[in-house]
Amino acid sequence: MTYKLKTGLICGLVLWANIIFGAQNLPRSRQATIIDNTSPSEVMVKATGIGKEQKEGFFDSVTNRELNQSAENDARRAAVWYLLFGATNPILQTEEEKNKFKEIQTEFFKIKNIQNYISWDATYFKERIKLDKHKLKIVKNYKVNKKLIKEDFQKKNIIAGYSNLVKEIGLPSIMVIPSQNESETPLRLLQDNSNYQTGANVIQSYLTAKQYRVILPKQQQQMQEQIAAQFSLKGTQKDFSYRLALSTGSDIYISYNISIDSRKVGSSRVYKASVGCKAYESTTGRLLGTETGYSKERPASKQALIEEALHSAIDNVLSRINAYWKKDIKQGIQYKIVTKVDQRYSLSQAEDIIFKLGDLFQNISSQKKEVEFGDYTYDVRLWVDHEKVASTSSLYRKIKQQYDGEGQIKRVSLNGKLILLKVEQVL
Amino acid sequence: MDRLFKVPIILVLCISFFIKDGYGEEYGYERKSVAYLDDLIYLEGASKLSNSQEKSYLSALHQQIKLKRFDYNPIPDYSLNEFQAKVKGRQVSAKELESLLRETVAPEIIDYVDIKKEMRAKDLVNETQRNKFIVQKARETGLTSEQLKKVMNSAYLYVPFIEDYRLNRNYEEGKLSLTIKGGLIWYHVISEPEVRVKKIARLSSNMTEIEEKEDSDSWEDMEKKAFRSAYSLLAINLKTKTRELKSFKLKAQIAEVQNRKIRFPLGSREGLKLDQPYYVGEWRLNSEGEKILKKDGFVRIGAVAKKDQPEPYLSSAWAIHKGDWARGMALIEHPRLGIDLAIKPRIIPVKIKSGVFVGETENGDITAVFDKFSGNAPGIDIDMQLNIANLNNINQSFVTVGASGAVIPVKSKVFYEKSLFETQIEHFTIFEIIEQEKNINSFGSYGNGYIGYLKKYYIGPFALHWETLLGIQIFSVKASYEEDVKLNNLSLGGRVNFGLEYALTIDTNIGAFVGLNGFPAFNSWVVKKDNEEVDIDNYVDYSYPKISSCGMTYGIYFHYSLPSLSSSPL
Repeated sequence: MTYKLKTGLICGLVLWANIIFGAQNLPRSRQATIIDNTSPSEVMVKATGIGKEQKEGFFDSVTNRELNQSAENDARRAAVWYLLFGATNPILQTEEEKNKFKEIQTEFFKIKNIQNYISWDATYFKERIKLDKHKLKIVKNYKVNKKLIKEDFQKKNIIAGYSNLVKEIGLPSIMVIPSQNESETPLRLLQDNSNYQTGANVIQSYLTAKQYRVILPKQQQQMQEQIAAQFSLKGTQKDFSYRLALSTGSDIYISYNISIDSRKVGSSRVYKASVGCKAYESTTGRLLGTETGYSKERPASKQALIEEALHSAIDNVLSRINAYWKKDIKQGIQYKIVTKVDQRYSLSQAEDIIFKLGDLFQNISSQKKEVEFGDYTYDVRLWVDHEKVASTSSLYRKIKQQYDGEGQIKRVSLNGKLILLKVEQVL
Repeated sequence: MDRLFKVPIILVLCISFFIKDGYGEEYGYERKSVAYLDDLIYLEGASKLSNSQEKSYLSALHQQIKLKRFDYNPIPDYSLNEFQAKVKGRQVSAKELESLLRETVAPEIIDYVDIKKEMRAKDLVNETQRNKFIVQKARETGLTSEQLKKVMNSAYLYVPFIEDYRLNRNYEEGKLSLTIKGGLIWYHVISEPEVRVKKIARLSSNMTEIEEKEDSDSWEDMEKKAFRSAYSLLAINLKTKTRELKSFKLKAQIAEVQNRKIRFPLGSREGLKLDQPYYVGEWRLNSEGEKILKKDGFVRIGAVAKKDQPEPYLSSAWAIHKGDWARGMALIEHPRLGIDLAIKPRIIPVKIKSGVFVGETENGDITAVFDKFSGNAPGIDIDMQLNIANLNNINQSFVTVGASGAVIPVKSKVFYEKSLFETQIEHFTIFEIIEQEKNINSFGSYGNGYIGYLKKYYIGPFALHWETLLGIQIFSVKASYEEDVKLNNLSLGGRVNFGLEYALTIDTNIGAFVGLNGFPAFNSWVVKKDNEEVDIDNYVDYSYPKISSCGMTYGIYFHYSLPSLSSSPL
């Protein structure tokens, strides 16, 4: 046998063994559904397991106990597999993450490892059916610690870079506010409607448990003042929440609406809460994700039902936020800068000023995106390296120092992610 | 003589009647809400019972059907009266009955279930739900509208009926025969989308009682006695049949398997009792893709979880025939009366020392000369074994009541002297014409009636047992003259048996046993003429025929667990 043939054969055998034995650890069924987000870190999953055993010799027999064990192991793997790949917002979202995971999947799906993520498993099966002599199907509920999986993946650099950036910059700050209503403003809803207050508190508690910085606009008067401080710009959206989010400096804002339906079962009134959650990018008002959560129909208090519905919705919205944040943060911190040029300048002078500003913004940012280029208005979004520019004021300072065009840059307001500037003619 | 047999049998049946519940979806049992009509419906052609009979019958029936696996819903009197007013004095068809129930009783049942639904639905909150957010965080019961609806739709109603009632008095033979055929119609009361009732089963049973008239008995007393016995047994039968209904059968998932012991989540709340038999099996997909239960052995209940015991609420059972069992397999009730009928062909040691019996009756003297016999005679025992594990809390303990019979090949001559003419001076007979008749028997009949205690120890499908019995022995010879004369020798004694059984099926055991008979010879005689006991003076003290049964007895054993009694064994 030639050397090449030998090497090829050995490689083939190694590959075959890897496929065969590696595949043994992967779940057979891959069927699961999320029943409930029992806490910010744990999820209740109903998983199907297929138990399969082979006789190992003439005198060997496959026992039901072995099939149970095999099916339960498979169900545990399927529960975790579903959270990694199958859920609406899987833990592994990008191709890169999936590829990295593939390298460790054989080790990861070893039952000893999977067991670490199962915090509770039901005593009784939901279903147990023998498919044939050596094949058993079970359905069982498990509580999986999703947070632990994510932490382990971050340590192993599978969902890479995220943890390092989070350490340096922190998680995004999120403002939580009720959805705009035709008759009532979000702040009025938050103040007067107990359902919305409960909703805000639930989201806040859920997010803080996950170490997000949460902004709850409570002082309506103060907010109104801040908004009044912003001059009415052409192109500024009319959405109150959007303006509020910009002014509070949140990276993202979540708006939510709550509706509660009721009906009678016998003489008891049962309620069902439905909650819609939408996450937006603060600087643009771009929709990042939307999710609706439902509670079960219960004869319980409305507050409990709102919480149940929110728990099922918020976790999915949060996954979208994380996906966005992971991508966005690599480019730097995002700011919206709106500049108004003094109208005493001629149109051609104003254009030169805007060109100068454009060059300046290009230099100090890692990425620039123009929103509006008007006669006297320049609206841009900048992604700035957080190591070079640590805050809104230092960005303003840098712009002011480096501006070498006509006139003088003055600030109108510096509010979180929103910088409002004007270029005044020096008399 | 028959009374001697009747006493223990009546005792067994009385015990079985008063032992409450003693014998009597796929993965678990969910409690049902049950209501009943405290009124009897007469089917076409059925004779009417008296008011007191109706009351006794209904009371016995309700007592038996009051199973712990049910929650009971009272039906208010006004609703019942409305129903009664509509059915009174006329035959009602099944369809009409359903319609009347829907109009009158069903709404009241639904109203009651509605009030209780939240409390009852709490039992439906399973361990998964208890681990869910809603219960942890909000400290609510975790109830959902599905569970409430399940409770609302868990209502059942039964209607007692009489199909046939016949009483026959045979004045010539002095016999009373009473036949009663009755049962229950079970309905499912459905609350949504509209209140309706749906018939799920019609259970019936019949019972025939025959009473023989004694001098002291009145026909009325006999009727009462026969009726009481018949309805009691009928109610027990209906209880077992109710337990057999698919919706009401107890079932659970095996939580643990430890060698031959299994644990499962049923207990005293559902009326689980020691020693009850349960099948173990698993759900399989057949070639048509249907789900079928494949039985794989059976168990008997070893320990019952108390209703207020701390979690886990698990009872245990031990395997008789064990298959390849594992956690998650199904356990399904096999309702039985708790009475085993045992048939035991055996060899009986009998010793008869030859002797003479001379007795004087009012109408003449009777003399019997017995030949000697010593040896073993083939006989048969028929026993009723009543499980009393729930009374004494000892698994596999029984009260045994039974009787033996054998034919003994011993020769005897029975002389019957009848005085045709007699002349006396004062107390002295000076002239007498006597007619003597002689009857030669080649066989004598041997009988044994007994009561005792039986204990079994199961080791897998095998069971060792011992039993101790006390009873009465009767040896009879007959003579036929103008009238039938029966001469009975009586003895008291006991027996101890040791046996080994093998469980063939969940209901049948076979085995063998050896025992020691201890019935010494007694000079105690009863003479019956035409089945009437007559007074007799026994003149022989020492040379009487000594009939004893002492020594080793052995035989084979067969038992069958009774699902019902079709007629009284009396």
